[in-house]
Amino acid sequence: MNATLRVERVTKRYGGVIAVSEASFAIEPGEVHGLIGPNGAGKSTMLGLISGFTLPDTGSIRYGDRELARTSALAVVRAGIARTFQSATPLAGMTVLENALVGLHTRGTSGLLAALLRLPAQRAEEALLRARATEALAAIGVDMPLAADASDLSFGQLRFLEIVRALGTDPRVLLLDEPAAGLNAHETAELGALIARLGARGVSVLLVDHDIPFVFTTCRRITVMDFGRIIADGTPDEIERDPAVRAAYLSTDDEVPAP
Amino acid sequence: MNQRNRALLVAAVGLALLALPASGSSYWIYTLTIVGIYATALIGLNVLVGYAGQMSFATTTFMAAGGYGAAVLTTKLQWNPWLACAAGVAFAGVLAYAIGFPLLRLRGHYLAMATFALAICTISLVSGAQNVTGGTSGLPGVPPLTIGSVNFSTPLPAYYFALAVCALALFAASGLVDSRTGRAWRALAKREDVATSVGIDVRRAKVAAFVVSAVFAAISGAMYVEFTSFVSPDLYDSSMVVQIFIMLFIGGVGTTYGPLLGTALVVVSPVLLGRFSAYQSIVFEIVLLIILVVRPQGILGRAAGTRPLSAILPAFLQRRRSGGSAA
Repeated sequence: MNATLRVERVTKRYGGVIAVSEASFAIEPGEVHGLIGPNGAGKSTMLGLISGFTLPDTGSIRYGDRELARTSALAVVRAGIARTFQSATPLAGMTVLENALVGLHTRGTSGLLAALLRLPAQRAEEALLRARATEALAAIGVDMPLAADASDLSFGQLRFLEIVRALGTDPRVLLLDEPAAGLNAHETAELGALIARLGARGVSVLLVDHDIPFVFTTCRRITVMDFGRIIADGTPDEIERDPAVRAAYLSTDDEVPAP
Repeated sequence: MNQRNRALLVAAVGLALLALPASGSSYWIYTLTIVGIYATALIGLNVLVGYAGQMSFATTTFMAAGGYGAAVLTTKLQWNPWLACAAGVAFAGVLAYAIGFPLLRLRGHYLAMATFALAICTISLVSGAQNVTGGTSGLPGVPPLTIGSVNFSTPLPAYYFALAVCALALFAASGLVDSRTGRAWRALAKREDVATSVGIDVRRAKVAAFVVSAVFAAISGAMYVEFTSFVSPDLYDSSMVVQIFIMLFIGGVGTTYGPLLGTALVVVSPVLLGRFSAYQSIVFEIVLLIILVVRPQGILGRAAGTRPLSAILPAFLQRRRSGGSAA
């Protein structure tokens, strides 16, 4: 059922720049896994590679026994791996509820003709999806007005709406690209609790974020990247003591990973 | 306007349209029949452009598929008109599906240019294929749609038929837009990557919208030809391509009733502007430009993009108006 996600010796070049170099790590089922590193370390590229939006030059990305490195973003999400995006992505012109419903796209089956003719089965499915979306929004822990246009939400609300949308696909692995950026302390705590609940439910989470204390308290394992390479991989305690990690952070203006 | 007032207004307009023939004005009955027929195509185009966000000028191509399908099959092969219309519409749908996959790989301006080229090719094709289409002189004598003794090319039946088809198109389109498929369209129109990330097959969804717009256009094209009993390349020429574009944007692209209002304004305005006689079209174009500048989102579009009328003045005049204080 829930499997291990394995990134093996993945390399991605952009022209002469090596964004990700021979990177390998694994995320166990239900593991909350952090991915940190200074700016430009290749974290977002890695997230793009796993989610299939970017194709690697070499290497393998496997979920269970499925090879995902040569498939499409669509195949990856259908294999149970969902993602959020670094920039805020409200689908403006659509309500909060509709944004959540978009996430449930793969949970429905009704097609074009059924909607054109407003068949009873389509109406029933629509009602069911609406109920599910409403429920998912209520369960996320942050209040959102369902009928408001998504672009009218606060930044924090938007972050949570995006997670609701991604969770709509019922993923077994969730890739979060800087979900804590711009959140206040209360929202960050809610986010941490949400991620912990997901982990407890057996959903693996890959958390890319710059909020180092947040990553250290939320994650069970942490992978550290620098200049496209993986320089450390271990528990928060191990990472904290790792000299290579300290060197990488101290050599830049980024935060030092000390809790 | 709240939802209740909106529903009341729509109901009032609907009732007025139903009652219109009582006025006995054959001119208005004819004009609004044409509005109903064109609006059917525009409602379909609005799904593609307004909701799925894919710009297309190829509406005339599919109107021609429906129109010529009906005309050729009835006049050359003596098909039943209903069957001929259905075949024309089906042909348009299949055609849209077949060319949609390669065409909709293009985005933005490239898609607009490619569909414009398709519209221009259509004119050449129907003008050139003399043996089938009658060339530039077209095909006259297309037999009307009938049920028993009711002839749908006579004024009253034609009017109510056009009204009914248009209303059905509106009903179907608004159901679609609010459905799972419609949400997929609206999502991919904003962010294709986000749509993909939730498992929407963006390419298939785009093609589906293209096919819907083609089918609505073909229904409109077939109805027009059945109503006027005549088809010729003039119906699909470049001025029609531009008119459809105007109809779409003037009323409000991506709104439920925008295509209806836009079509009505473009079809009816020559009447309203009749007093300007020779200057009629320049007056129309100027009014159009003003609307596009002041309300780029169309008359019924969301207010976000509204600009004051003074925005169309040249910059030096705007400064003078605001007392020279503008930065």
